Amino acid sequence: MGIIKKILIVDDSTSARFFIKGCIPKDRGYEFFEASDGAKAVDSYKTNRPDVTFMDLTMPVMTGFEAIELIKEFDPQAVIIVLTADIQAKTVERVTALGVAMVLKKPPVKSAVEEALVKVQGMLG
Amino acid sequence: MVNNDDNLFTELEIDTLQEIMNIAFGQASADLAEVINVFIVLSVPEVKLKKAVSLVDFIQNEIGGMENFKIIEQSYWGKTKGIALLAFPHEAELELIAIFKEDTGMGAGCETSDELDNEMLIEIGNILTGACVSKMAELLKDVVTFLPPRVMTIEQLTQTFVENRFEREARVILLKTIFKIEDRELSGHLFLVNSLDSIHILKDALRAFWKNYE
Repeated sequence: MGIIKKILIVDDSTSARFFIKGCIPKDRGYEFFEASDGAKAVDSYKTNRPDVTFMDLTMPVMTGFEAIELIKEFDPQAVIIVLTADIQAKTVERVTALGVAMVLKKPPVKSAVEEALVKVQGMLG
Repeated sequence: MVNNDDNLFTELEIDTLQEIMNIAFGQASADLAEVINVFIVLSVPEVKLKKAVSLVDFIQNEIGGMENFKIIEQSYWGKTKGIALLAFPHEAELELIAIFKEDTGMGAGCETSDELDNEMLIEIGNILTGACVSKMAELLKDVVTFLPPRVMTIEQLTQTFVENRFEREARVILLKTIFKIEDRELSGHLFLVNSLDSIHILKDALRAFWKNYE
């Protein structure tokens, strides 16, 4: 099982990025990177190679859907957790088809985020 | 994106309100998508502070004129009071009603009439605004009560809307989101107009929301 060291948080809302960070255990020494739209997320992913990416979907410039596709094209093993307000069944189907590890609904809840991190840790090589 | 010229709210408070609106409208879209077979493409919500007297002009500008629009209006109140306005262009309204009829069977076998169409439009409005406002209230630890929604004429909106609800010079907070139905030329605007009479209650609620994550 791999160890999560670097986490990328992608959301156009400053508050939303704060909320997700607030749900991630603070005693694990994670290194955080943030991006405020899909395009910046793709750049940050390529530069920083995070172990886990939390991705919003509704964003200006480039949506999360597009960013996921580009990141997966670059790195098919990318571990992406979608954290979204868009909880339509079709949205979940679509991002799952793009290969995301899981989908969490907003607002984030500490227990769900911690559980998600434990699960995706098992996916890291 | 943010018009906060009076500095009544900090940038962070405005951002948090946008995020809460985003979550709430996401819930509303999912609720509607359970009733009719559509996929709603969400957009990033906006928050603006306005004088009540300028609201109608602002809304007209946003949706590009009112001549061909139907508006579903629903008042609500909890710790603060507000009004939800759901605006559809006429063509979108007709298409949405057709989808609603097909997917729900409502109105099957009935002659199409303006009254029936309005009822369906009200039902759609009820789902979207009800779910959105209720979710926002839930996140801000409030409980809201609704008046029944109604379809408004342009005259009602322009002539009596502001005067009956808010003091003309009063500041209101306006939350706006645009939504589109995928694969169809169909879009609408949802505006939530909230009184700032109890601004401290709203600010306290936003602070409490942040506390959950500190």
